[in-house]
Amino acid sequence: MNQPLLALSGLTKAYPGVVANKDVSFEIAPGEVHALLGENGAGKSTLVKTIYGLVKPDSGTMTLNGAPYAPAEPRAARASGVAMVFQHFSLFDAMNVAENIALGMENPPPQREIAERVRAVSDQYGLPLDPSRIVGELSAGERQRVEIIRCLLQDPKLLIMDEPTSVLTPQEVDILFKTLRKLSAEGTAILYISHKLEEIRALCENATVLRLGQVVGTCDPRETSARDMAELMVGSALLVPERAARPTGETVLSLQGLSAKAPHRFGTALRDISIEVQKGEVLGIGGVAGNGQDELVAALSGEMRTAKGMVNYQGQSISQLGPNARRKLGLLTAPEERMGHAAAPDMSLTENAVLTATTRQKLANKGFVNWRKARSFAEEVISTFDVRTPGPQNAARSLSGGNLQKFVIGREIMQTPDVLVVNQPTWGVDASAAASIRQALLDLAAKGTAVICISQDLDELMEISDRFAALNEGRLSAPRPAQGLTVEEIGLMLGGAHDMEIAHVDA
Amino acid sequence: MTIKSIMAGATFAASLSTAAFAEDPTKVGFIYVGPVGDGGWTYEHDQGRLAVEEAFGDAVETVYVENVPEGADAERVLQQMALGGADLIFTTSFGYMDPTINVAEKFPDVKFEHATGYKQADNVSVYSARFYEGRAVQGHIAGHMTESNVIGYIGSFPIPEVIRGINSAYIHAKAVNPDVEFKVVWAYTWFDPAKEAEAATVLIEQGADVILQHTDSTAPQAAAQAAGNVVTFGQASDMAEFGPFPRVSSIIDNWGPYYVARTQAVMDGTWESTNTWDGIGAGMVGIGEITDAVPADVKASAEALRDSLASGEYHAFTGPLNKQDGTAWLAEGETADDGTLAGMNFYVEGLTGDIPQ
Amino acid sequence: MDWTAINPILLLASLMVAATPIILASVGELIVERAGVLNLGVEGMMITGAVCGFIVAVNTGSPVLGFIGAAIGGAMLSLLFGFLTQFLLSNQVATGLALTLFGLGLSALMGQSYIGIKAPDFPDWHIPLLGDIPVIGPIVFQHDPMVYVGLLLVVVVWAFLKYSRAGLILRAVGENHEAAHALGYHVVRVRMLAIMFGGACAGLGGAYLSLVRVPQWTEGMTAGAGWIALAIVVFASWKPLRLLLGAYLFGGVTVLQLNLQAAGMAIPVEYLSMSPYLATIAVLVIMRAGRAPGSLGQSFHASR
Repeated sequence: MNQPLLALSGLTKAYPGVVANKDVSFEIAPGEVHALLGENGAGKSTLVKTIYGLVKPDSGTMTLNGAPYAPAEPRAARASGVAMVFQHFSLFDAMNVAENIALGMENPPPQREIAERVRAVSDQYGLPLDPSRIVGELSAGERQRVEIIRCLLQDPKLLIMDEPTSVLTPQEVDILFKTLRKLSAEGTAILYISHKLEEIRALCENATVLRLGQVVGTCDPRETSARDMAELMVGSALLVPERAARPTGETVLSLQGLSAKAPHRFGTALRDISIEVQKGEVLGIGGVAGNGQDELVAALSGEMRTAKGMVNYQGQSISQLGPNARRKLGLLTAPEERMGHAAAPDMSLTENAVLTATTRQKLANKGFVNWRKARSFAEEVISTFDVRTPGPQNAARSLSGGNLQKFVIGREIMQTPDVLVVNQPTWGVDASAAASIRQALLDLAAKGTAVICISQDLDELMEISDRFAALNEGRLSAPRPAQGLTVEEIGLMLGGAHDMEIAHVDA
Repeated sequence: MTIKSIMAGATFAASLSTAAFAEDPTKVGFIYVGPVGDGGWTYEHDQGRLAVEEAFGDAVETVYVENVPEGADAERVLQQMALGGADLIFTTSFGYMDPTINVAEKFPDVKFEHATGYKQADNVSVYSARFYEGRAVQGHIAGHMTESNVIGYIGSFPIPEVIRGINSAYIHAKAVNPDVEFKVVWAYTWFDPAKEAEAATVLIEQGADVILQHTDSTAPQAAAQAAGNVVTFGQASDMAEFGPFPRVSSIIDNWGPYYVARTQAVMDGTWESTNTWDGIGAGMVGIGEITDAVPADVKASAEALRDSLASGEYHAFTGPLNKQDGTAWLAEGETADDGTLAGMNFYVEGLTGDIPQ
Repeated sequence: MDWTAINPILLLASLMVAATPIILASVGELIVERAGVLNLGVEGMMITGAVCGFIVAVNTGSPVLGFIGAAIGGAMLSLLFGFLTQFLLSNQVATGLALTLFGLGLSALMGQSYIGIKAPDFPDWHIPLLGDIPVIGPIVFQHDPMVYVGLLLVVVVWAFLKYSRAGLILRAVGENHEAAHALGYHVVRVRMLAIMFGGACAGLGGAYLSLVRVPQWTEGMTAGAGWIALAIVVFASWKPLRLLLGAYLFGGVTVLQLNLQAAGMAIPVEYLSMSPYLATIAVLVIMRAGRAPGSLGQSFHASR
């Protein structure tokens, strides 16, 4: 084997109270597509930040092309040929594409030249992009193109991609993979981070699996099953949610011609959404981020009022009711953003429980909170949903993302809703926690609750949905039975490839 | 000035906490509309406060809060001061009138003294100075000194106090110079040096060569000095640093004697609600030195006018006088009564423009 | 009324002077806010600059040194704000308000022995040739140098933000500090420099009041000019050239309304008095409000 491009040896990084990386070693060869696997909190982010110069390791060494490599800051990393596409894009909404690209480059040429090079590279790799457009107005897929092109303009030897497909439609994923394979063929190594195992199996030649900061195994993903890799990640056998066949009942919630203007400049308008939801069914709503998910949740939860007759609950219009009135009727919502939307970060879990459960659980009497009752309700949520926390007096902020997600979902489920709306219920949650959340949703549906699950994770939706519908630019497609839907069909429902084109093979 | 001026509010609070001395001195509070360093109105009130301290030494304790906006803030400050154990509080601007009355209702044992207002109560006295007498002297000099026959007047707010001054100055300028014309600009502030300088500059650009001001800073003096040939008068304070030219004379507020007398009355338990309106005669209004930039004969006649006002043989508003619209106001030899003067809301005949309502 | 009493040349000339302190202070604050920091202490920094400039000018006899002293004084005060908000992560709104109170008190203390003193003369430049052009000469080319410094500063800031790489980085830091940090830019360093620039500019604006416009030292002499400067930054949608328009409009209408009053305009004075505020707000709002920098007013810490 040739000399490796990048070799990590014994990297260790500890934060107060937690060892993020412990003695991590592996190698990446030029042109190799290498997967880095692990659950949330396994130490993947810290490791790539170390490679990109954002984190300094406590001990251990790196070599790049045989020479010692210890970037003091991202600039040094970029200068050495290491580029990174971030999970949460490092883009500036109010600036145009060319300016965003210039900010990620070491010695950027004048704007006009950048524009030309953007055109050239985007043509070469099939990633069309207008350099003068304002980034805030781009779709998620286009924004990712900005990040990728920013990296490509610097001729990187190693491209780090952190969860790049979480915001893409299947067709867009295909195009991305073609681009990455082309890069790999040209000799650029790619370090690919994801927890979507099928993608890794399709793309990567090697995989390193991290658990609790340590390397627990390596494998060739092309020859390892997704289930085996998942068990390697989790360290135990994984439970797949069980789905009991159940009859669906009468209609509880119906949307009739739901339309609403975009609530803010970068928001999406809802256009003529009509659907009926039955008791005991799980309706999965898929879609790429920014196609109206937040607005739909707001219209359902009561945060956004709509015209009379658009949202109907058991035959009555509730369009004009606020969140608490809807909770009282039995319609509960768990929004996507845990910190700040679903939970108040600096308040205790008990207080957070009071915030949404007061109405249904009668935690208040004549305006006074019954703290004993609130506390026991919070404790019940914690024990039922296995939330790892010392107790309900702890601030929401102190919980890890997955644990808090279990809490905010559990808080709503424990209130025995008639209709439950959840948005991205397992976003950023590790595999085992995600499985238990999904199971809880299925159990709830089995008891007769109508569950509306909005998610960008198609695997998740296929796993739990009875019917599937897609949101695209504020429109909802007609629902179809989830069973038997193919990935291609779903992709088309999601709006296809959003005018991406496939890489020119001859280029 | 004391270190208090660094953070008037904070030190005020601190001084409240140290209020309970064993011998319990009489506590006298002042609230000011501007900073004590304005060189004009508030400066002179603070001189009055210092006079009280000097007169009684340890037997009094004075506190003050400067830059108190007229309105709700004033009420809050007053209330704190009353709660802090003040026995006597001077509220030194017209706009504190209603706050003073409101707070006085809640603290019947605290005595209040409100400057330049007209609402009295059992524990609220009003006091004011007959500045219009000083304005008469200024008008007299201004009428003589102007060559362009245009006199600029910087008004603050259209309240009786200010309107009286404009009328008085105009009457006496007109008396010595029938061609004189007044240009009045309302600044809607008591203290904003930049705006006052702006107003003075505008008046000068429009031909005024004498500037009278009823605002508190010395900025118009500086603007006149920059223009070179423009006459000004000190307002509220002597502003002698701008003499002998452009500042040729001034009206000086002298509150010290009154403040000392009222404090004494509180100490003696003889304080009663009164309505005091004193002028040149009682020493509450002083005429600053008339400089040599004024011709000797004008200086002499101005001093004669001052003396006759002081002795009471002449009243600044003596008929025949008509109102601006031409209707008769005072007949030949008749003098204005205090009631009319206190609520004066009209110009006399000859002034142009409207009083903002 | 008497239109002839108003001399349009003098009116326009004094407009440029009236707008200068606001231009100076607001162009500094614009940079601060574009870097994502909300410093409400402009008034405090202005008045500190006013007193520092005055003291230096009186003691050295040189107005130029006075202005330099004012810029240093304003920058020093802003450093305090920067230290509290950038390193100790204190709330920017509260710290800014406190800075104003502190600046007002500090300046009163420093200026105690300077009340009633005259500032050294700061003569107008009569620019040769250009100053002799009829009408335009007296309006534009016969002012004191600071008027031109103010104008130049606006143009420099505009070009800096639009064309320079440093300006791009500054905007990036203000737009999304997390992303800027991820790309390896020094958020706190950029912000500290911006805050100091803002302080220096506010100091210059204050000194313009105490050395040129009034010209003398009086306690509390800025009388709210700092707040006007803050408001103009917002109404100008954080754009330098629009800011220039706003400041001229505000200064212009202020001067115009006094002129109209003196000329006996038959419009009620109350309306004239509120006209500068109304006109400025109306024009800048009609010109479509822009978007505030994304990270404006938020504290940044690298560990988050």
